[in-house]
Amino acid sequence: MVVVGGGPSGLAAATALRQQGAGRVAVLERERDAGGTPRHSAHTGFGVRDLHRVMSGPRYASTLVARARQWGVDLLCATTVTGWASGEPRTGDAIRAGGWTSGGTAAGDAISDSDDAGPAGHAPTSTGGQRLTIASADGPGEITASAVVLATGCRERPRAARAVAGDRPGRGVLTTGALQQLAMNAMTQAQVGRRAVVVGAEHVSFSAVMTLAHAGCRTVALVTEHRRHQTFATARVGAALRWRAPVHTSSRVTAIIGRHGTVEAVEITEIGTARVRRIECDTVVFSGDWIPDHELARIGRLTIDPGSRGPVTDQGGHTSREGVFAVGNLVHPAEAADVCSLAGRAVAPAVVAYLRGGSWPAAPVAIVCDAPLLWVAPGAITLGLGPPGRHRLIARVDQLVRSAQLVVEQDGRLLDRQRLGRLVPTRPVEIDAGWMAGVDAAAGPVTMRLR
Amino acid sequence: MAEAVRSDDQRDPEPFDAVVIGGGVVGTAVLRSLSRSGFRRVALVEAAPDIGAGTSKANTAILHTGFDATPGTLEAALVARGYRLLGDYAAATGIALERTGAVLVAWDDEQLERLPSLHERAEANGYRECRRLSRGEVYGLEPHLGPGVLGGMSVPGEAIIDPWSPVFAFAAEAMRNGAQVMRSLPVLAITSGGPHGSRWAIETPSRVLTTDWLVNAAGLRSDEIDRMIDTATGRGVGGVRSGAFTVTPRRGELIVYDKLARPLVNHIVLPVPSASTKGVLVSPTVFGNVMVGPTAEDITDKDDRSTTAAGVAALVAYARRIIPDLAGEEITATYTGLRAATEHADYQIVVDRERRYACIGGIRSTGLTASLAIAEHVVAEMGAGGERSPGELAPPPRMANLGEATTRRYQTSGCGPIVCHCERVTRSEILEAMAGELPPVDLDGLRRRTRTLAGRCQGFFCLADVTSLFTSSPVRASH
Ligand SMILES: Cc1cc2nc3c(=O)[nH]c(=O)nc-3n(C[C@H](O)[C@H](O)[C@H](O)COP(=O)(O)OP(=O)(O)OC[C@H]3O[C@@H](n4cnc5c(N)ncnc54)[C@H](O)[C@@H]3O)c2cc1C
Ligand SMILES: Cc1cc2nc3c(=O)[nH]c(=O)nc-3n(C[C@H](O)[C@H](O)[C@H](O)COP(=O)(O)OP(=O)(O)OC[C@H]3O[C@@H](n4cnc5c(N)ncnc54)[C@H](O)[C@@H]3O)c2cc1C
Repeated sequence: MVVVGGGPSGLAAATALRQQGAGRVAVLERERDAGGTPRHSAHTGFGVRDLHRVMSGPRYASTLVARARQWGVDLLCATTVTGWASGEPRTGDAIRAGGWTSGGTAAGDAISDSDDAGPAGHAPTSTGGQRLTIASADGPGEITASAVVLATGCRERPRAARAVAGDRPGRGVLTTGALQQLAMNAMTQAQVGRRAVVVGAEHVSFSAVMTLAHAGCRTVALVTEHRRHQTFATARVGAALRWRAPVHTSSRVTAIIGRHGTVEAVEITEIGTARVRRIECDTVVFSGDWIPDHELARIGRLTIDPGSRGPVTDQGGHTSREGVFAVGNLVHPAEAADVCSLAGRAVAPAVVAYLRGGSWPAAPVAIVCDAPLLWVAPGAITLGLGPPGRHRLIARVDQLVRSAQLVVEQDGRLLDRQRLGRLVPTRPVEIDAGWMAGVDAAAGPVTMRLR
Repeated sequence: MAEAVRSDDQRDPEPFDAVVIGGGVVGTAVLRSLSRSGFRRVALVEAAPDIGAGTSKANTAILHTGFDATPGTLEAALVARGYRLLGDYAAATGIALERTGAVLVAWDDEQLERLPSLHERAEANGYRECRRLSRGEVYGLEPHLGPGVLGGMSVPGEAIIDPWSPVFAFAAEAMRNGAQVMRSLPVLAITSGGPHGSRWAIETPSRVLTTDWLVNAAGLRSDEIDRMIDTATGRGVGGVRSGAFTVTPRRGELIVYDKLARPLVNHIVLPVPSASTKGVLVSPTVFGNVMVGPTAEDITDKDDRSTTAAGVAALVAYARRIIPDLAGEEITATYTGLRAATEHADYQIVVDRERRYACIGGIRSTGLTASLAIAEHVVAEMGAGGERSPGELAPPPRMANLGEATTRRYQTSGCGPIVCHCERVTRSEILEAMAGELPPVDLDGLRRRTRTLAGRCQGFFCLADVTSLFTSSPVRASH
């Protein structure tokens, strides 16, 4: 058994696999140490839902690492999985077959990395299981496993991915992830500036404000395209900081100014009025706007959800490719670390069942969601697997919905109605999975829409 | 601050045989040729903190055959020759080069009608490999092209190259042959008749360099240097000017798509060129990305290398029309290069033996390809006394391979850990770059030498590791 990615979801999955009797379980992690993103998050706020404690990111990471070790998980760090050595479908035919084809939003078809329309059939598997190519400090190599769990996490879109125009100063343009790395490292802390503009106003944006404050940098503005910020009004620290850092809503950072190596200002444009203003600063932090680190999923030709850009999975973490599971923020970008670790734990039974000779779900029922729902995870349902982790599905909306009611149907048959209350973009929408037992395996996709 | 300057240089009045102004791909190529010539004391001065940080770092990285050049021009001749020279040099030094070939695509009747004349032009330029393609053949070569292709032409010789390494290779080779490279040393003024009978005195903020020959390879500012020369020699006003021209920066914006887009493009996809520009192309890069650009817009400010919202939006729209599947891919980088356009169509190269001044201006959009041929041509015209004997010359330097088509360091045994994960750059590559003869002075310089931080996460995963490796390097500390 190989788990790719030693963050909370991968470590939790590996530990649970050992606890449930899996044989050799190796976690391959490209960084020097396992622990994932929390390893670089000096602030507190980790572990509530899985460990029932609140701790800092590094403590949380080392706790998960220690548990994995204790349960006999092999941790191979400084080891990057670079690709699939075999069993790689040559075309995308197979993964378009069956129920794996239509997961995702109604707006677009699920993406697969090939155009070839082929006969329906199942993803071919080499009987020897999965062979991955790796790169470690010793050089290139290969590793074979009966099954693979992808837990490669997600990242924030940096400036270029958001196509923000202007100058390209050599320093001062960061993501929150990069910022917290600089701030945590004594050697690089001095690189953080004095006046920052934070792009985004979601939870992680306020985490950026805190990290900046610790590094002695004042946040002079948060800028969000949405009509309001998206963190909890009651989050005390956030609120206190918010008073000092004005949130510019319905606005966009449209240019970065700074010709001489450092940032001098940003230009922000108000959507609607097109009013442009300039804010002096020496640091710009692009926060949130997550994208899964889905390289292995993509080159392995897994069916990708067009909304989340992560691989489509069912409740057991099965993907469209036999023997390959996916879990954590790779699938739902981005949830808190404890949610990811619980999700990692939750896939273990399905993995163990497969390792013991269970069959791969051939034709799960896809879930299709309508705007303003952006995506829902899991994006497919296999009957007989039971509910997903925490008995919930996770979704996102792209605009504020004041009082939402969710309607779940299959071929026009009502499966469930749920009051979801107030939905805020970028924030998790949690959907109770009680209706799943009523899904008809032979019928069409399950649809979800808001009323 | 000047560096790589021996402390005795300050007091050493011995003039240089030749000084090159400008450390772009052209200036470093000339320095390399000079260092292999009969000239013994040669140097290059670069205003910026690093070489290769001007137009030479921001181009489309195509090794042009010159099939579409205007026949009979100096540019046509030097591009064709440079194509061969740089191709060979890349092979000798390990600079990444992929002979992908290009497909020129006609999207409307007017473009289709221009194909025969382009074919004739290629033949007139001595390039005989072009072949007309039917609509079906174009889609066969590039299955991801959007609808509407009418036909095309193949240009099998066009290639993609690592645009950053040539500058460093030329400079390193020149230095091994005894040349000096001085960075952070802007030329402020030039006077004719330096001390000790030398021809020229070059003023910089920290020192005055004297030299017999002066080579102007200042790119966007080559016109300004040229005017300094005219003023210094009493020409310009009413007299014959060496290479009278004015540089108008022509902004070219580019976007680079994520590596996951690479399978969408097999060849360099060229538009049918118009009179004023080569047009916007879609091309793979040797780093494994897909690049779209450049736009063409005349501006006035030579220091304005910003991208514009309109330019980037236009490129995104263009990309989606040419290759619709690009719409689903992430953008890894956007940047701007400024072409040194002049009022003349051809290169403005004048070697004035009387004044001992070589002017290399107007190297607009083919200078990477032509660099070694420009250098060969200019140094021959300067009469620098022929090449030194091979035994006296340093061999071509071995450069780190930055390309995806051949083995990267992380793919070799005992490579050590990867530090930059998106671009798979190992710690050892970073340390070697820091220990090179011209170590990077900032992270951008490290990027151009190793690809560090050039990838999709832009430091989300590795910024602290990279930064601390960079700031703690013993080599850097001593500079
Ligand atoms: C700035 C910031 C602040 C945060 N604050 C909080 C907080 O206060 N509380 C909280 O609960 N959560 C917080 N989070 C979220 C938390 O970090 C994530 O929920 C969690 O890390 C996700 O776990 P994961 O295992 O899915 O992914 P990750 O933690 O991202 O782990 C993925 C791992 O996979 C590795 N990997 C990727 N590709 C490969 C490959 N090809 N080969 C080998 N290894 C690979 C990566 O190196 C990484 O270690 C924060 C996140 C950020 C960015
Ligand atoms: C968008 C774009 C796409 C292109 N695509 C291609 C392509 O695909 N293939 C190709 O072959 N070519 C291409 N080119 C052209 C190529 O990039 C240029 O021709 C080439 O880089 C010019 O090199 P250079 O050395 O003349 O100029 P530069 O690289 O600009 O170097 C000039 C140097 O002179 C220095 N300098 C200026 N003034 C002073 C002073 N007073 N004192 C000291 N130093 C000074 C500057 O700092 C600079 O470093 C492209 C160009 C652009 C803009």
